[in-house]
Amino acid sequence: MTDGPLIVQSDKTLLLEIDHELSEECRHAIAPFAELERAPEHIHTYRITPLGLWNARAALHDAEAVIDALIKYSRYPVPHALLVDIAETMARYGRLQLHMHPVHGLILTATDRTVLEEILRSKKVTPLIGKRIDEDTVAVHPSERGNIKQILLKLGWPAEDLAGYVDGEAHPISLKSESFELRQYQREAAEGFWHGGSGVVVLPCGAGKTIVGAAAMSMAGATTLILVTNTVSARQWKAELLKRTNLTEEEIGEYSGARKEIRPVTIATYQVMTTRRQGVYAHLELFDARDWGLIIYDEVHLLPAPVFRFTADIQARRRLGLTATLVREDGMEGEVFSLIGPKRYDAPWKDIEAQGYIAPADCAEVRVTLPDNERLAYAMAEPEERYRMAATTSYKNKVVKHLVDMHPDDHILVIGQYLDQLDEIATHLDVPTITGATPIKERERLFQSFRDGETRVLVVSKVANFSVDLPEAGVAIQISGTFGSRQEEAQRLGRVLRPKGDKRSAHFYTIVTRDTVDADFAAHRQRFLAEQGYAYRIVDADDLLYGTQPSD
Amino acid sequence: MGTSKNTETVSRPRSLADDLRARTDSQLEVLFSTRPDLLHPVPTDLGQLAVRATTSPSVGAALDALNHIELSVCEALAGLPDPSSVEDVHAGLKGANGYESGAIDAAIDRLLASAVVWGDHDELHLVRVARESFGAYPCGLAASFADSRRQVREYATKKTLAAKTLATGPQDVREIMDQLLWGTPAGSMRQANRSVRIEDAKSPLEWLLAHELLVPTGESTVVVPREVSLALRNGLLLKEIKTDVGEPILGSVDFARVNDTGAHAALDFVRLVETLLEAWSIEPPSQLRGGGLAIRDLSAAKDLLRVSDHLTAMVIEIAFASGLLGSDSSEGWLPTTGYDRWLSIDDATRWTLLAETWRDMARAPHVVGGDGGDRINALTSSVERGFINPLRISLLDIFRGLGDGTTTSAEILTDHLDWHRPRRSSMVRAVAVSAVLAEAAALGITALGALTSFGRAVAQGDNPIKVLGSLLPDPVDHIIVQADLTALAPGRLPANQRRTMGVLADVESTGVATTYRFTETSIRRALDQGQSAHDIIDFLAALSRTPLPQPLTYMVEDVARKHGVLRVGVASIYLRCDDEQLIATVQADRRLASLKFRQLAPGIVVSSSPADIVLDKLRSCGYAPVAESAEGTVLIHRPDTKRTSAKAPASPVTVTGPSSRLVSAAVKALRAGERADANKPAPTNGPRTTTSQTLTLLNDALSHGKEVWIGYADKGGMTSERIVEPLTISGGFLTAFDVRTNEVRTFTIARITGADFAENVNDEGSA
Repeated sequence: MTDGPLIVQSDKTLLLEIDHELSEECRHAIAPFAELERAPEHIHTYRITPLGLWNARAALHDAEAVIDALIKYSRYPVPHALLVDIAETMARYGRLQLHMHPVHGLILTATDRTVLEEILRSKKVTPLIGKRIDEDTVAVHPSERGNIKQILLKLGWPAEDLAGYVDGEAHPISLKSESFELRQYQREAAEGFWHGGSGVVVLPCGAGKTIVGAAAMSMAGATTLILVTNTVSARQWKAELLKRTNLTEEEIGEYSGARKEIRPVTIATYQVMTTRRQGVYAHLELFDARDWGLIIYDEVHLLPAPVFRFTADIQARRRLGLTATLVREDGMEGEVFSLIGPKRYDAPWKDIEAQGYIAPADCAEVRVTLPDNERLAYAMAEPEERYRMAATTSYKNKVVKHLVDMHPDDHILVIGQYLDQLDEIATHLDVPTITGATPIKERERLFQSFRDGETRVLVVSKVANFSVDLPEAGVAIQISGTFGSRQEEAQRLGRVLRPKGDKRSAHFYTIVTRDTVDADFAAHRQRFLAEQGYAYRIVDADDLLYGTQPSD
Repeated sequence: MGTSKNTETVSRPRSLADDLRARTDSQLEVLFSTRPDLLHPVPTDLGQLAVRATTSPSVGAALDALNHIELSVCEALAGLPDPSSVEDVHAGLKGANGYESGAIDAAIDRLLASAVVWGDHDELHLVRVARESFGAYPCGLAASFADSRRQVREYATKKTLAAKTLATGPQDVREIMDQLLWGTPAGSMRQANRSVRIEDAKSPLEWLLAHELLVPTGESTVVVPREVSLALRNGLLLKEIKTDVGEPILGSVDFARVNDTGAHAALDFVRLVETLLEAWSIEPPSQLRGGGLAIRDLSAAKDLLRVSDHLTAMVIEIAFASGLLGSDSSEGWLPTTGYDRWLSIDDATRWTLLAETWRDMARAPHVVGGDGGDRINALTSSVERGFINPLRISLLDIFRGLGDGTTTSAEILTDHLDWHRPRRSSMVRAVAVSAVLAEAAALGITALGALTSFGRAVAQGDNPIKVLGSLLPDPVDHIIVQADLTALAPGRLPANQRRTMGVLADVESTGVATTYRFTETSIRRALDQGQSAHDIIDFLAALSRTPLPQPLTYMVEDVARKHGVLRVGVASIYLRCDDEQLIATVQADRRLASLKFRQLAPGIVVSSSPADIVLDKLRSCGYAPVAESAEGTVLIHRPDTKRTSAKAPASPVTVTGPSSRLVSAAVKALRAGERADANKPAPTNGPRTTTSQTLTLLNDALSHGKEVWIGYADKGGMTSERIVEPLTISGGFLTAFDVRTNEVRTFTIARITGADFAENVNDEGSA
C-alpha cells in the first residue's frame, strides 16, 4: 500500500487529493484517460468513462499504461474488477478501423472478425455499408464516414478513423511572432489538436481560444471556415486574426445575415447556417463553397443540431472545436466526440488563473427575500410563470444599485434574461441597455465606449453571453438567467475573467430570490463553477443593504 | 495379468459380492473412502454392501467422481462384451489419441478399487448400472449382427473388407458413414425393413442397406452393425482419450498485492451488505405472495448499491442465508436482530460470517433474474441449487492446492473440472464456475485470480478473523468538506460517524472512500431526526480536517430557519368559540377531562375524540354546542325522513317456448335422476365390484351403449352414485355422460368403487 494522492473507487470515480505532493504528477498521469468532473478546493473528482478510455487509446495510451498509473498513485489497492473492466473497454477501441483503400475507397476493416460480424448484424449499420470485400473488410459509403462512427460508438465498438484528411486549398497563414508570443498552454493546445487530426480544445473564457484557432490555422496553412455564435463575435474574430496573423482585410470574409462574403478565411455565424428558406437550409452549401482545409467551431457546446448533421458529411476535413466547457445542456457530448473529434486539450480554470492569464474571481450569491405581497402572488402563480416572477422581483433593483455603488471604480456588467427587468434596472441606474433589439452598430458603439471607459455600467441581455470581448469588465451582476443553464453561468463569469491591468480580482454576483425556483436554478447553475474551484460566498441582501444580521 | 486362465478359474469371483468378500480390510477402507455414500448407513454384511454398491444412485455418484480416463475405460468396458480382459481394453484403446498404457492400467486399478468394476484383470465386469449409463450405444457401437447377417459376418472376419466396399460406393455414402461412425450409429429411414438388392439401390441409404453396412432394426430405423463400425475404426473403441490438463495455473502475482486487494474487496462487500440492510430497515421491500423479492425491488437495490445484477443478488442472498435479513409478514423483508449484533462487531468478524455463509450455502445467486417464464426471484427456494455447494467446495479445494500468489481463471478451472469430473461437464457448470469465481472475488476470498490468505483460511475451515484483521486498513477519523457542498471520507469512518454522515448527506460515490453530497433534503432529514443546526455544524466541524466552507454552514442554517415553521398534527375535532372565557371553562371542566382538550390558539382547542362523543358529552354537561361542516357552516340536526330513489317497474318478459332439445335433455336428466333416486339401494353407496370387474363392465357398456350405475369416491373419500353413459375409456380414465347432471365428465377408474348396468338396477328395483 502506497501513500499516493489518488483514491480509486469501485464505481469508477477517481478522487485526487490536490494538497498531496504527488498530485500534480498524478494529474498528468490520469488526465489522458479520466475526465475531470469536479475540481473544488481539496479533492478533484475524475471519472473513468468508456469515452475517456477510448480517447486515451486514440492518443496511443494502452490499457497497461492506464492500469499502471492507477496502481502507482493509488493510496489503496485498486479494485480488481475495475482493472479488468478498463482492459476490456480499451480493447474495444480499434478493433474496427476506417481506412482509405486505393480501389474500394472508404473501407471498414476489423482485426477481430467476430466484432465485424456482430456489428454487421445491426440494423443501423446495414444501410451505411457497401459490399463485403473480404472476411475482414467491408466497404463504407464515403458519405457515411461520420454516421458510421456515430453508430459504432453507440454499439460500443468505436472505430479508429485512419482514413486521413484532405489538405484543402493551400493558403499560407503565419502568426505575427514578432508582436506576441503563444502562451505555453496555447501552443500545447494547438499542437495537441494538430497531432490528433481533429478534435476539441477546452479552455476557459479569456484564455485566448481565438489565438489557439489562429495557431491551428497557421499549422494547416489552408483555407479556413470559422463558425461562430453571432455577428459581434464574428467581427471580433476578424479583428483578432488581423492583429495576430499576416492575414489581410481582403483575405477574411464575413458570412452573416448582413454580408455574404466567401474568402480564403470565412467567418460564418451558426445563425445564418441554420437559416431555413422554405424548409431548406439555404446556406449549408457554404461548407462546399471552397475546398476548406480546416473548419473551426467556436463555442462547440452550442453547436446546433443541423450543423452536426452537416458535419457528419465532411469528415475528411480537419475540424477544430473550441469551447470553455464540454457540458451541453442537451446531452449531445457523444455527438461532439464522434463528429468533431475527441478532446485534445483541457486545462482546469484554476490552473490558468494561477498562471496569471485570467483574473482571479470572487463569486458571491446575494439572496433576497420576496416581499410579503409578492410571496403570496408567487405561491399562487402558475408553474411556468414562477421563475420569471421570482427572478424579476423589484427588490433586486435596490441590491443592484447597492452593488454598483460598492464598486465605484470598476467596469460593471449587469446581465439578465428579461427585457422589461433590464429596462427597469437601466432606468433605475440611468445607464444604457443592450439587448437583441439593439442594432449592431449601436451595440458596437456601446461596447466600444465601455472598453474606452466612457460608459462604466452596461445592462445587457443574453446577447453578451458569448464572445463579446470586454476586457475591462471587472464586475458582473447577474439578475436572471436561462433557468438552470450551467454553461451560461460559465460564460457570464468568463466576461469578467480577462486579466486586468492592475491584477485586481474580478467580482461575480448572482442575485437570487430565496425560497423560490430562482434559488433552485441558481444552485444548479453554480454547480459547474463550484466544481471548477470557484467557491461561492452566500450573502443576505439585508446584511448587504443594512448591515444587519437576519433575525431568526 | 500374465497368469494363465486355468490356474485362476477356481478363485475367480462370480459376483461383486464374491469379489468384495475376497477383499482385505484395507481394500474395503479404500472403497469406503472413495464412495462415502456406502457408509450411510453402515451395511450389515458384504452381501448388503454389494447390493448397495450396485444401486443406481450409488453407481451414479461413483461415476460422477471419475476423471476422464477412468470414465473412458468404463465406456470401453461398456462397449466390450462382459466380461473382458485388461488386454481387450488396451486393444480397443491403443490407437486412440492420447492413449497411454500406464494411465489406463492405473485407471483400471482405481475402478476395481472403487467397485465400479469387479473381477480380475482377465475378467473385468462393469457393474450393470454403470454399463447402462452409457445408453444404447456405448462407444458409439450398435449390437452385433454377425450371427444373423452373412455379409456382416464377412466384414467381421475380413477386417479391410468394409472399407474396401465403402470405397466402391458413391461419395455421399461415405459421408453418411462418416457421420455414423463415431457418433450415434443409428438413423432413420422410411421402409427400412425391406431387402434391397445391390443392383436396385437408388439412394445412398439403399446402397448401404444392400451391402449390409447398415442393417434395419425396425420399420424405420437402421443401425451400423457393431462389426462394421469396428472394422471401419480399425478396432478402436474410442477416438480420443484426453490427457490430463495438468495443474490449473494461469500465472502468478505478488502475494502481498493479492492480500491487499482482497482485503479491500472484503471491506467493500461488508459495506454493500450494510448499505442494503440500512436502506431496507427504513423502507423494507415487500414480500411476494409466493415468497421472495420482486424484480422491481431487486433492481432498486442494484441502483442503490451500484453493482451488477449478480452481485446485488449475491448480497441479498448472503444477507438472508447468514440470518441478517428475514421476512416479516406485514412489513416485508427486514434486517433481523442479528443484524444489530452484526453491526456492533468489528469488520473482520462481520466479513467472516458472510464469507462462511457463502461457502456453506446451497443458494446460487447467479441464477436470480432471467427472462419471461424462467424468471427466478431472489430469496425464494428456487435460488437453491444442489450442485452449487459441492462445486464451491471443490473450487476452493483446487485453489487451496495452488501456491500463494498463483493465479487461475474460470476458463482454466472449467477445463480442469471437465477433465476431472467429465460426467458433470455442462454449460450450467461452466456458467456456475464463472459465477462462483466472480463471487469469490467480490468477497475477497480471491483477488487478482489468486487465493488470499484469509480466503485460504475460509477454504480450510480455519478462522480468518486474525489474518484479515491485520490486513484491513485503519479507519479514518476525518472527512474533507468542500465548497461545492460535498464531503469526502478518504477511507472507512467508524460505524457511528458513518451512520450520522449517512443521515446528513447523500452518498454520491462509494468504494474505499465515500463521497457525500449535502443537499437541503439531506439536512432537512437530519433535522427531522431531531438534530439541530448547531449539532450538525459541530459534528461536521469536529470531523472535518479543513474549515467548513461558508456555503455549507449557510445552507444548514438556512434550512434550519425554515424547518418546523409549519406544524402538522392530527386531531379529530376542534372546538372554537369567540368567547375565550367559555373555552377556558370548557378546558378546565373536570367532567370533560377525558376528552383531553388541547389549546392551539386563543379560542381554539382540539381533541382526538370523535365528534359525536364530544357533542354528547358537552351537552350532558350543560353546554350547547352545534356541529360545524367542513366549510364552516352550522349543521342542522333533525330526524331525517327517509326516501328512496324512483325505480321504473320491470317491463314484462315475453315467454317463448323452450327448444325441443332443452326439453328432451331435461326429461332425460329428470328420468335419470328418478332412476338413480328410486333404484338406489340406500345403504350400499353404490355397487361394489373389483376394478377388473368394473373395467369389463364398463367396456361392455361402452360397446353396447348402455347406461351404467357407478359408485364414485371423491377426494375426501365420500362415495356418491351416478348413472353414466360411457363414451371412452383410456389411461385409467372413464369419460362418460352423466345423465343426472347432463354433462360429459371424466372419472378416475381407480376411484370407481363399483359398477352395474343401470337396467339391472331397474330390474332389481322393480323386483
